[in-house]
Amino acid sequence: MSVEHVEIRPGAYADSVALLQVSRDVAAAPGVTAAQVAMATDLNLEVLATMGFTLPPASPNDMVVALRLTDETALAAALTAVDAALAAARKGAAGGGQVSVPARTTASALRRAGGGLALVSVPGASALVEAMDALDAGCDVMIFSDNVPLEQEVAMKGIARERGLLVMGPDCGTAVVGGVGLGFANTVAPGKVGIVAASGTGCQQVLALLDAAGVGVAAALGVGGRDLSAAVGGLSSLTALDRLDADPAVEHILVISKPPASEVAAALASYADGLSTPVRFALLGAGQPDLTAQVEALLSDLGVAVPTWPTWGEPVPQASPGAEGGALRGLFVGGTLCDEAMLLAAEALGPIRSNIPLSPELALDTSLLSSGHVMIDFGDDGLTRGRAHPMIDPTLRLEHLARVAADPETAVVLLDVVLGHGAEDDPAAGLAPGITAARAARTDRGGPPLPVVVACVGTSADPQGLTRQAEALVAAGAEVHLSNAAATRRAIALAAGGTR
Amino acid sequence: MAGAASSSVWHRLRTGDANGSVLHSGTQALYAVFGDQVIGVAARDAVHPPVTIGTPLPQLPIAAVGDPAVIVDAVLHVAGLAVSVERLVPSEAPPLVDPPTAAVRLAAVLREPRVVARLDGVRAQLPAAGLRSLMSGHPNAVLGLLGLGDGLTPVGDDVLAGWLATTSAIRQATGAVGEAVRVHAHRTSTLSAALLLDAVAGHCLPQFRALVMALATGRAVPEAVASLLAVGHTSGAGMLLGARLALAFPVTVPVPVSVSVSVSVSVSAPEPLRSPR
Repeated sequence: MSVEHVEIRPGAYADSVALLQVSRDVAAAPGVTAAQVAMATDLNLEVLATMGFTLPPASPNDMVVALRLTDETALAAALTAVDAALAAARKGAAGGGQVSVPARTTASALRRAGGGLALVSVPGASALVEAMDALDAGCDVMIFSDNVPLEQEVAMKGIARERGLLVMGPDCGTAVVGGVGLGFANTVAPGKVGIVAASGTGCQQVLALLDAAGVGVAAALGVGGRDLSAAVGGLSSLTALDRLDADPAVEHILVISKPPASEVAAALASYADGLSTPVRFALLGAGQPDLTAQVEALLSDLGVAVPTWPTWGEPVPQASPGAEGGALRGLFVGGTLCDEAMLLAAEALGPIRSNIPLSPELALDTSLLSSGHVMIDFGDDGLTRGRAHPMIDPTLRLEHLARVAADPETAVVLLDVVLGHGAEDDPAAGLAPGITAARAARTDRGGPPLPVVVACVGTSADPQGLTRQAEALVAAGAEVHLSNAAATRRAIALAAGGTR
Repeated sequence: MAGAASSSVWHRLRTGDANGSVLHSGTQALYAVFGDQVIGVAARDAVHPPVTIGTPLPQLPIAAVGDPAVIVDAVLHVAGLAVSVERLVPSEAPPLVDPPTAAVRLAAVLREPRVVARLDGVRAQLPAAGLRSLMSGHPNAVLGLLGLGDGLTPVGDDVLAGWLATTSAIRQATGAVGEAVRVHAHRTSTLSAALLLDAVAGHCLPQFRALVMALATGRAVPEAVASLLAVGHTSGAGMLLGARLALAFPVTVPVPVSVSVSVSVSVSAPEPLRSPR
């Protein structure tokens, strides 16, 4: 008979991402049917209550260990697994198990360690204080946090620009600095391309394509998704261009952004003309080339032959026309990948409803459900408040995949999988059963399997293994592309009833 | 002299050179008016409203009301001081995503007799109809409370400011009440109007910000309430009452495009994580 074990560990702490991994490790232990190890925040307690656990009083300063076991004999081994997983998390965090008293403020950490770059990852409402500590210490700062007010961003970047310092972010998820990947970064070879990116997953798509073409990267400086807006005026992009121009390893610069303010794009182009390093702009927008096309143009600049972009699996067959609805349903973890897909699909199919719509009247309500073509960015601020990003925790997207598959109007599902450091250890393992179930949901009703197309964005040296991930997705029945634009065009063709 | 201020003050100093005059001068705070904008300078240990530049000075020099104040090259020159903003400090109330829980957390502290007495002192100065209107988010509340009561900032304005900052934390917008404040702000003192308009934009005192943070996290709520009550003679209590009214009945105003989600069966991050785009 199933037994439940809940214990509160007052004062114990580990960050949410570490605890997510601890929970997974423990859940895989023999005799454990469910395991959640989490800080006892209101939200987490609610989750645990939803799972049926009976909880004693606890505060957010406490850690709660909740286990459901096949029988009592499994408890001792499960608790050993909890302690081992927590110890592993601590060891990973402390760097080889060395015990040291952590600095309590950014300012004191910088006094102690020095260094040229501080990475700030705290709730957005508190990011300014930490970022200013870094700037006051003469450091560049990468702000991983989102939900930082725009007015703060502008002022902070203004001060940094006056001091010759670089603010990367806010909401900067990806960077490669000095050969080190920061945030959600892919493993790339050193090379002669420098990237300025106002787009995290857009940068990752470029890194993946360049890697497939055998081209390395000297640096990728994220500047935050709003940097090329009219309000911010490209303040960090200017500094990043200066830095890359001064770097002797950089021979070509690529600037990537979601749709920018036209005057900012023009000002940056004018500024770039004065630099000694050639600069190419890959700026998404209606009628503009997609990121893959921009990379192909860059390869041409470099004198490198454009390869055939990798695909895996046989082209998925189109559902029989007319038997089911013709709606394209895109479920993304990368905002820029979602943007790019919407721009391509809107041109071919018409209006796309979304939580990050191309125009306000196409906004989805909170159900995220709608008739017609729909694309959802599960990494958007509104869906990550109080929970981990879908590149770490895929639960929300998986739930929605099942809903979309059950909708007879869905003609094709388009997904992205983003690999690299910081992302899930094995995203295909979580997604593949969902894809299989989605396809089966359609065959169970007597129809052909639901076509699923995946853009798998990663490099050959990424820890998850690009080929292994792609093959696992193919085994589940998906058609997989390295290029998000190619995957999107394939999904468009399937939705439109055409063949390619 | 290098000072610390909110990003909104940093922006105001950079909207161009300007001539103004001293509006209020004391050893702890000095305010100057530039057209319809107010910028202040605060001593080290003073309360720092969001329009002020904090300085390391233990006391400020005294100037006469009407003395000149100028902004040149983003530096404020007043009372013999030349103050620039070299350090940014947050002044926006952090997001309050779970108002019912925040209301429960605040209610527990508001039952304490010393807090009850302070809030009763504020209520006694203000018309009950105005407070009821504010609780329901009706714009009539603005004319019913604006400019009424004691204090350098009238306590009716403090109540409005507390309501506005709290509602902004909940909804990122202040709806019809905020709009009415914009229309009628000229009916109260210049300084108070400036602070109210800042509250419409979601800016608030550090002590009020700390209260919202405490209500959002459930940590140190009694300490945050005590710290707010210590602000001014009635200002802190007025703002606390405003927060109480905003949380009693969170007003419905148009919400920016965002999506709330149901809790699902996964361990969720206790702190908001960023989203790569």
